[in-house]
Amino acid sequence: MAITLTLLIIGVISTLFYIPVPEELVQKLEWVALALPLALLIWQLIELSRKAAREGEEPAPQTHKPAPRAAAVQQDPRRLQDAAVLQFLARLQEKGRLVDFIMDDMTPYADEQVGAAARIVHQGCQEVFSSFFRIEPLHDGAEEEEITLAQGYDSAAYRLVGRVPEHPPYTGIMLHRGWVTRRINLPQVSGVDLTDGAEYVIAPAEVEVDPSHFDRA
Amino acid sequence: MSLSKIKYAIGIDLGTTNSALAIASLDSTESARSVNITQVTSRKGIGSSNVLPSCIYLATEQEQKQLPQIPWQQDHSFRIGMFAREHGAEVPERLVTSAKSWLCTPLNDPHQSILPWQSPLAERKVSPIKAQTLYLEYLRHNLEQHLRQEGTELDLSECQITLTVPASFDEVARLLTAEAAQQAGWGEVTLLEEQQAAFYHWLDSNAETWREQVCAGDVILVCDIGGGTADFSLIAVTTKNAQLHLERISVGDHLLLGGDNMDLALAYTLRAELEEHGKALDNAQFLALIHACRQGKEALLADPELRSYPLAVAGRGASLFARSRSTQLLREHIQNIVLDGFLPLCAIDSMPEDKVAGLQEVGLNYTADPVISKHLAQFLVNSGRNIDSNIKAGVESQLCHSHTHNHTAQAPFIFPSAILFNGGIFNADPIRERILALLQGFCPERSLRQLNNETPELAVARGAASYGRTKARGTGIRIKAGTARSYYLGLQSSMPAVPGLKPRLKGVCIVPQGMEEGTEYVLEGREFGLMTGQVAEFRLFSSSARSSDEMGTEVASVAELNETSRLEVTLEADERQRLPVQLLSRITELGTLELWMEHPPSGGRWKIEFNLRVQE
Repeated sequence: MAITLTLLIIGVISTLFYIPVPEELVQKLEWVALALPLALLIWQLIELSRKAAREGEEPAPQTHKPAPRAAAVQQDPRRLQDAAVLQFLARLQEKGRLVDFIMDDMTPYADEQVGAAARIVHQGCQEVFSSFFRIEPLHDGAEEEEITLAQGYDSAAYRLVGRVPEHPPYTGIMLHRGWVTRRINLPQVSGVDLTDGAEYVIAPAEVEVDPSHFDRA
Repeated sequence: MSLSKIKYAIGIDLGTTNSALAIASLDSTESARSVNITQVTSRKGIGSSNVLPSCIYLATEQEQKQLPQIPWQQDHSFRIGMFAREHGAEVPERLVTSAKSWLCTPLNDPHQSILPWQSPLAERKVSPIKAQTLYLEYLRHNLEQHLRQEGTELDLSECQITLTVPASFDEVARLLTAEAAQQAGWGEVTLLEEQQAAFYHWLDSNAETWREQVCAGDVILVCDIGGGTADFSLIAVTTKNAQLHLERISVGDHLLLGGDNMDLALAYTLRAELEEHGKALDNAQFLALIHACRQGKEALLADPELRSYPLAVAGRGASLFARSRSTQLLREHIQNIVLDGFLPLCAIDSMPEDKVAGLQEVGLNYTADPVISKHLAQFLVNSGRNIDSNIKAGVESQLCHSHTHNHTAQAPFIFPSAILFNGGIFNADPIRERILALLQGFCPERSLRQLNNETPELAVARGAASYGRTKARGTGIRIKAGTARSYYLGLQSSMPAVPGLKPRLKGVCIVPQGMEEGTEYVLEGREFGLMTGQVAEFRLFSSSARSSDEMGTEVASVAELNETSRLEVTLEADERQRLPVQLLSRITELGTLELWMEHPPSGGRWKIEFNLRVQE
């Protein structure tokens, strides 16, 4: 439906612009050109609200729902990608408390407290980085030094700023050495992770269980 | 199994804290390579590392379904490896650790389900043997998977498998380890001492030059300090027919003391300092502090310019800014605690204190004195006292008399001429330098050099694989070793009964120290009259300090020996009768001890079993 409407709109608009039509038809076509996008918009809104209604009816995520087969889910590349990013984020939080660091309001704290927190984040995240990547400076030389890039240089590896002529060689000052990873060793995303519900947890809520506390009550 | 069929040599380092796997192809001369181990690395992912933490986490019912699952693990009730270690540290009642140490703990039946130690989860507990079996099974599946990815199917009949055990393991612990490997589907494995494996790795990675790096008369100390254990061995270099020979001449006691103790000591010190300033730490914060101390220790040891290492520990809740505690690990801490606390310079006659409280709590037999230097001194003194007279001639040049204030006639100790470090702790130069200085202090006029070990964490597995390759090929240098201890049967002395006096138990040597693989001895001139159809029990004792005893040597009282286990044999026969039998002991080609009762006239043979039930 949406596609048909879109094609019609394109047809009408291009007719208006490029094909000479009698004066009396122009006004009608203009009306159509306005009405069609409106119809498309309304159609999309109806679709959206229907979809929202369907989701609302769905029961709350059940903890005992049998996990869909990992192999089947893993074929959905979007999901796999989301799960991988989430897993990386989870690791940065678990080891380096990165999400705590970002999500907290740091304005009321003294620099000393911020510094202590930064050390935790730095040490932990560094550990995660070194287990997943082998990160090295892209450029061997020092910053503030002169560099010349010859014909065929990798424009993905060097970002040129300033007054850049059309053709190399380019001579300039190294502002930032850049970073490159020589290895990527991200853990596999587990099949269980790709099931509904579980995929958005970055850090589980932690509960300390001690039966002896409750026996006494 | 014909030798020509062997295509791969596989080395397994089943460690107390970490395990590793290595493989060497038989038709290649390259050094053995380590095999990555796939494992659950976090709550959300599966990754791989060249070591597998020897930890089992017993997952809860719900976690069993939701934690990442290793595809080839059939039983999802537990997770092994990195995630187990990290998460389990905060759930100690569900974490199995140090299973290996329980194999050589006296007064304990390793088949009993006792781990996690003192956990109330009665039904979930596993025995130390079971835990070892699970690690070994895991490693086998991992290797299978790994080879499959390279396009090879693992066929164990084409593999020479070498499993390492500490040199200090007694025959019973060795046997139990071999049993676990069998259970785990590895089939028959050859046992090799870890410290020898580290040395084989050195030989393999210096294949071209090692003959120039050592010479006849050298004694090499293999100084192996792991996370929670320390082991020392001496290897002598001798010549026979103008060829260099290697012989492992001495083995120290198994010390439950290692690098983790240092991190723990640093963390205790920093915690006390924080508490003085009114900053209390909870359990989880303390665990984080231990971890931070390890990082700080490594940073300070790696960079001599660094004065201090600031560290911070997060609070429990989400507010990182409000609840973090910060402190500093100072160079003085490293100096006072790690170097001067664990590895102080000391005299050769400093003996470790063996303080055992009157009633010792049952549990792991942690080493009482944390001063590693004293244990090393004691080891060298004991080695000098104990080495066999035949060997003594070969290493005469390395015998050294102590220079101490009390000039009582002391037996000479052995001063090593070279040292091979093994274990992650020796990545740090100051630790190696301290050990070298300590040894040099024992005998300042002799020279001491260091043999290079590039990968002190992976050397054991890789060395085991190279040893397996040498063994399967039937060429190349082998270290002559044999049993590290001698073994004795406890027999009652025949004497008239006296009221109130128990008949004294004497020991009869049935396995002399240094008994080699593939040899067997009959205990001549001593017959045992055993009733058929009845269980006969014996007590087995061992000694690591009686190298000159031979088969049949009597020790007047078992008091100077260590009780190892009970032996049990049942002579199956059709009719009940008293049979005169002889005892035969054998060290198999695979390096395990077997004891048999034989009745030569009838050709009857009965295997004596080790009975490990806790008694009395």
